[in-house]
This record gives sequence, structure tokens and C-alpha cells, in this order.
Amino acid sequence: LERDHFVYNFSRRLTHLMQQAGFGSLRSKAGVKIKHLAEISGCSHQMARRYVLGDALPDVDVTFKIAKWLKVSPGWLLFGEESDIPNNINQKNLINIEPDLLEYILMKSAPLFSITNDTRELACFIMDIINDTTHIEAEKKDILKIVDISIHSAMRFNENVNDKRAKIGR
Amino acid sequence: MIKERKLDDRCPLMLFDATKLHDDILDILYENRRSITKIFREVIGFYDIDHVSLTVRSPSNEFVVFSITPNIEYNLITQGLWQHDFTNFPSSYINNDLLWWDEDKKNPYFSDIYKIKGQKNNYTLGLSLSRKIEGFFIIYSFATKNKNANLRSYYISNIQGLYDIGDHCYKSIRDIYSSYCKPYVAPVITNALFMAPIVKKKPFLQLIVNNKFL
Repeated sequence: LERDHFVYNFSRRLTHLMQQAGFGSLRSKAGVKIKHLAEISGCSHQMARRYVLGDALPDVDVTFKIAKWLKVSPGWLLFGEESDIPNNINQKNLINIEPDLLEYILMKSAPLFSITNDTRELACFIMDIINDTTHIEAEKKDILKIVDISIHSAMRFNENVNDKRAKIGR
Repeated sequence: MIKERKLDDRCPLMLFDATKLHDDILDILYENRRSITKIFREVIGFYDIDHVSLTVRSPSNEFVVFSITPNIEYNLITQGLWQHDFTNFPSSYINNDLLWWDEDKKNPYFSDIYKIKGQKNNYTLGLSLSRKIEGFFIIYSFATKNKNANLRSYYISNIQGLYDIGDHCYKSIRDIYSSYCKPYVAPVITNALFMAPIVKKKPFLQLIVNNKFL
């Protein structure tokens, strides 16, 4: 029963937000345009219909996609209360990134910590990558390529710094 | 005083100048990112600047861009909007003029361009300055997230400082740019504050209390 209640509340938040965002539909039983949800989620029309009718919960990746689309936090979409719209709606200083992309950036960046002396500056650089990546409008493979090139630029940067140090004997 | 540009006469559908982005422009945006970030980050915060980019056009009309916020240029280029952004082209500038990013509202691509340049990254105001040197054309672009209503006056009154920042950035990345402008030699900036004889600053005095304009 608890799970049913949880799934039902999720569907209520989802449909409410979709209607607020202009994706309401009088023809749909759920009151929203399921086709749009299916497109954003990358799932079938049937599965999207189950989400809005409270028959199923999306997995984590799909939840992030939907939350990003509707400009709310994934946590609120899953657990929030209808009367308590999260204050991060339209808040502009938050970074919204898909977990697998964040994981990719962090995994790729990890070796940099062992070859740099200025970890604070490196952390800022990685934050720049994360932030910039979330604004790039491109296919996933292109975004991953950009991450690779950016990380490689840091590798070369450290090599150059070390070369200069070696030349002046430090 | 800085000339206020009137864009009314411009055909809104024109493509600015004969443009040729470097063949590897998308890679260039990111392959020097660590160096560019380090250099440009040094000036972030001056005059409340949150964004710096530097566009250089070689004598053969080939453009290269370096940016601390490369998603802007990446999105503009990949969406075919870069060549419609009037701030990228020498013909939009008159003798070291400055251009505000939001002044080309008659351009049919304006909203798409401004969304990418300004809104996506939460910049409230952006401006671009130009500089000619040895057949090259350099454009310094800055943007801020500050929401003060008097920012335009503030930046106009500090335009020489902005040029100094741009010059500093260019000098610091000249070696990097050198590898992308062959067979030309990247120009050397030697004359600091070259604007001084051209731009006659209007005296500007404003009371500031607790970091807020009054």
C-alpha cells in the first residue's frame, strides 16, 4: 500500500507540473500530453502513460530527465509534497546534470588530482566543465567528446607546467 | 563619448561579412580550455565581469574564438547562429566602438542568439569591444550577472579598463593563438590604452554607497 501511495503521489506531482508547463490535455485520461512525456523520457507511449496514471515509477535516469524538463529537483519530483513546491524552481545558480554524465566527468577528472599541485584551482576547472557541459546543446556522444578534450587540455597544461619547472630546476 | 550605434538601416537578413571560421573551431574552443580558463579567470570579478571571450580574425578573414564559457560559442556555431551575431564582425564596429549584445533586436535571429549568449548563462548584460592591429581584428566580449540598472553607464565609464583587461587576455593567449593563424604571425599589442586618443570619455560621476549605485 505504501508503494502504491508513493507512486500515486509521484504521478500527481508529475501531471500537475506538466499542466502548469502547458502540457495539459482534455482528451487524455491523465489530463496531460503523454506523447511529450514519452519523447522527453525516451520511453514508450505506454510506459509514459503508466507514469502519469500512477501505475509505475521511472528509473533514476528518466526521473532526472523529467525533472530537468519540468525545472524541479528530481528529489522533489519523487518525494515532494504538492503544497510545497520546491524553492529551486527557476533558481538560477543550481546545476542540473544527469548522473551518468556527472559520473563520467568525475571519473575522467580523477587522474588530474594526482598530477596537479593546486587542487582548489583544479576543482574550479572541473566545476567549469560540469557547468558548461549542462548548457551544451548536442548529442551525448559529442558532449562526452568535449569532456574528453577538456580533460586532455588539463593533462597538457600540467605537462607544460612541469616542463617549465624542470627547465628552471625547481 | 562612445557613439551609440543605430542599427535601423541594416537589412535584418544580412549575413555579416565574409566569414570563415577556423576548420577546427569546435576543437579549438576546448583543446586549450585549461590554459584559457586559468588566464581568463584572472580577470573575472573586475568590473563585476562573469564572462570573457576573445575573437580574432586573421588577415585572411579566418575567425578563431577563445572563451571562458565555451558553451556559448559552441551552441551558436553548431546551430548556425554565429554568422548572424552582429557582435562577431568588424563591419558592426566603427572605430573601436562598443556594441551591447542586446541592441540588435531587429535581427530575426536575435532572440535565439541572445538566449544562448545571455539567458542560458544568466548574464544580465553583455558587451563587445573591438581592436584592429596589423591586419588582424580582435573582439573582446564581456558579460555580467549583475542586475544593477545603471550598468551601461558604469561600463562606458570604465571602457579603458575593459580594453586593458582584453589586451591582457590577448597578450596571455597570443602563443596559443599563434598556432592557429599560420602563415601569419599573431600580432603583438604594444600600445596600452590605445583607446585614449579615440574615445573621449564623458566625465562620469556617480555616488556609490555600500556597493550600490544611488
